[in-house]
Amino acid sequence: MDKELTTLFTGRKLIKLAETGSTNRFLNDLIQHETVPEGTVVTADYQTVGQGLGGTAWFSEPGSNLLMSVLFRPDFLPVPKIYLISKAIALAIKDFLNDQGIPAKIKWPNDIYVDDNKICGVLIENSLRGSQVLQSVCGIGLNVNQQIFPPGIPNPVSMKMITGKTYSVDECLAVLCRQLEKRYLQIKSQNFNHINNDYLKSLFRFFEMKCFETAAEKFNAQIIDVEDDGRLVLKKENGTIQRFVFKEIRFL
Amino acid sequence: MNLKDIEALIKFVQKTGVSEVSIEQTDLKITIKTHAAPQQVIQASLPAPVMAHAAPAPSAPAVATSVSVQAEAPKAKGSDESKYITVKSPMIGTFYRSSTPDKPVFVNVGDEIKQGKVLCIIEAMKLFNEIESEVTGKIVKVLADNSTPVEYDQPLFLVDPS
Repeated sequence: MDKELTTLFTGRKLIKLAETGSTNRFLNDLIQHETVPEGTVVTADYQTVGQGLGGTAWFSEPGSNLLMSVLFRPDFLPVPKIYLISKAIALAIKDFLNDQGIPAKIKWPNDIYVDDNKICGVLIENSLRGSQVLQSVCGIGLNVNQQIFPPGIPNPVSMKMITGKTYSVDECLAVLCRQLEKRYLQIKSQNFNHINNDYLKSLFRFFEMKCFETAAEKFNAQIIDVEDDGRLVLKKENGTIQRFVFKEIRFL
Repeated sequence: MNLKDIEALIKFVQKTGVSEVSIEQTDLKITIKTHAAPQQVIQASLPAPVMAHAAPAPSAPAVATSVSVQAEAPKAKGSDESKYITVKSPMIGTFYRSSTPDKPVFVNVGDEIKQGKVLCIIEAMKLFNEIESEVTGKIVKVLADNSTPVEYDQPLFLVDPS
């Protein structure tokens, strides 16, 4: 890995913390109190408040993993296209892992999977005023060197568990910052088709006939598309096409 | 503008799929709002000669229409709500009044708010979107329930900017 930070702005301001509640919260608080340049990154060796969705705990061994938040200001993005941020971040992480020889995929909407196991989680918090996106705080929790996870975490995996190598978390950060900036600049240059195509190509279970579950039923279907607003488009075995928002549908 | 004209106008607005149309003439102001709700709501308050109660049933299915017709007669008292600003949802998602269930709500009725004050979170596809106020004023009404789905353009708050 080339550990040199070669970005224009991503990670140029870097705040490294030994421990914090969550890096997203820290960065959000910081923005309230001072002018923070775009691309600012906050990392922590350890987070006391596991930052998962709806209180899902995310256990991380101190220093073993990459826990970071990055600030972007996608004020060029119309609110109906806000889901592109999610696509760009997920693609950057996927690109980074692929470059390390790890066959990562994006599990809709933006978890990163290797085979059937989760290697990285993403939590994005935006601020909107009217039709303007003011800022986007993107939290990333990537399992790097951790090999033992507490029971109860469904299907974790780390980079080390896949390749057997021990990584420098700082080097991972520098290389990931480059990928994040590259994908972010693609949306900034309105290169939406590029992002959309790469996102679809990278989707976990894209076009595979697999079992899904809603509150009402279980069925076999293929993922055939993801709409601009992020909805998952499934084609069922009988040919009917249905769209789902997050939490309406579960992968089995 | 007679009743037939209004009837035709409502049908036209529904077909176009726009959410709101306002037309102002010398003696008459008409606002037609369409919502994706199953029932029809018609409010009309105006002096004769236009018959408010005879508004036609909309032909488009599953689109509710509310029509408010206000006469611009001298010193029309103007409903109080007209001076309020409606904060609407910029997207389809889930409406949250606080950042986590154990935290206090961002705003309550009666709160004075400044431009930039966070009013709520709309969660959509795992993106958490804090909605900031565009105006300075006072919260008059909260129009959506916590933790419930909201549609694009659905009114969330009434704010008194004065």
